[in-house]
Amino acid sequence: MTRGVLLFANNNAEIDYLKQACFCAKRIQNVLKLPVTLVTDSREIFDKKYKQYSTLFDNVISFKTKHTPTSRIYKDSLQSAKSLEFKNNSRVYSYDLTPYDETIVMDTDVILFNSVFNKCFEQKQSILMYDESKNVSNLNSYTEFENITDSGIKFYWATCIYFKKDTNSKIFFELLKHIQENWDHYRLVYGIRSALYRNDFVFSIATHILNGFKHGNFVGSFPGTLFFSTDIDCVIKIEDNGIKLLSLAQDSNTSLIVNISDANVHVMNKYSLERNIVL
Amino acid sequence: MDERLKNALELSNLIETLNNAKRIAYEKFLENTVFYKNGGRFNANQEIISFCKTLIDSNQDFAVLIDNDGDPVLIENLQEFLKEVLSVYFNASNSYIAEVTKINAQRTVGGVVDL
Repeated sequence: MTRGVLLFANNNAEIDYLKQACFCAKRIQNVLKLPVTLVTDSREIFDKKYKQYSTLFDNVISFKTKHTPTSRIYKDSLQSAKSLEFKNNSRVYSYDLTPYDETIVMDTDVILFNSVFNKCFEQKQSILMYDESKNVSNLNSYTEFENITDSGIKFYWATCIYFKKDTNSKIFFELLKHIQENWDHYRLVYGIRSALYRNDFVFSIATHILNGFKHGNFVGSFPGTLFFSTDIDCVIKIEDNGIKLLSLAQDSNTSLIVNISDANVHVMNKYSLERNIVL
Repeated sequence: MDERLKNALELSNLIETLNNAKRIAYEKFLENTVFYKNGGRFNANQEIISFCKTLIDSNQDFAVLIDNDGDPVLIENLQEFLKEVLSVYFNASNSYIAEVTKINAQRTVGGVVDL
């Protein structure tokens, strides 16, 4: 059985997801020792700016969905908030795109500092996702990551997904595509007020449906703990075995410096991440 | 600012930083206790160690254990399994205590976060 990691990187006007993908692929190779396939709609930019990093990738696949990208607010801590294109429609095609029998799909802003992701291959379930994640500082409450709406279904993080190609995962990804194509219908059925298309919501809805419209065990627990830092936090430094962050409370009156080593961290402030990435 | 208040706020900040660092260390400990055997997911904790030892002392060579997801998992060799569990537990707990000891020794925020 072949195993590997699938990364998606679709640049917008300001965020260089390709740079993040190259950094992420380097860490995957060092920490997980797995091959990486990159899926991008920005192949020309990759060839122009990052060709020397093509050895980090098994394959670079050009892929663009027919869906119109949405836009969302990208924050750089409390300094700025900009509305930019959010091209996140490709993840539901992971089953079709991956060249591996067993695949880990992960966000390019997940910084790996340990190899716990490799435990995906030691267990028997077809699909694994995180249903919880730990904030780096707990200065704010994040109830929006417990359920997709206040009275809604359980929230699953589409940040890191493991699947092995079999009947269950095939049906899962076909359902994801269906939900994406009918997003306006499903978001209303599930009480999601915002029209913004989010993979977390789509994956959570698909999981709910396949559990028989209730909570269940169709999707297993992704191994390890995923710490997350939001877009109002700032990266201070990324070192070989850890990351230092300045975490801010939303009221901006409190801050905490956090040092996390030997654990994996999802860094949502993409501006700050990019400033601290060294390829 | 009143010096007393300033000192109190600095101490409060240190305590909060210390507590957060210990919380992160604990989450890492829990992560490090997870292991997989025969397709089942287990935590190498005091409960499973005690249960396995009890089974072995009752002259059981093999047993069905219930994993973290509620699935039954056949463990064919309990002695080997217990060795593995202990190894995982000791590695995780030794790292945990080392990290917490280092955190507790710090007297400044910079020391806690290694700045």
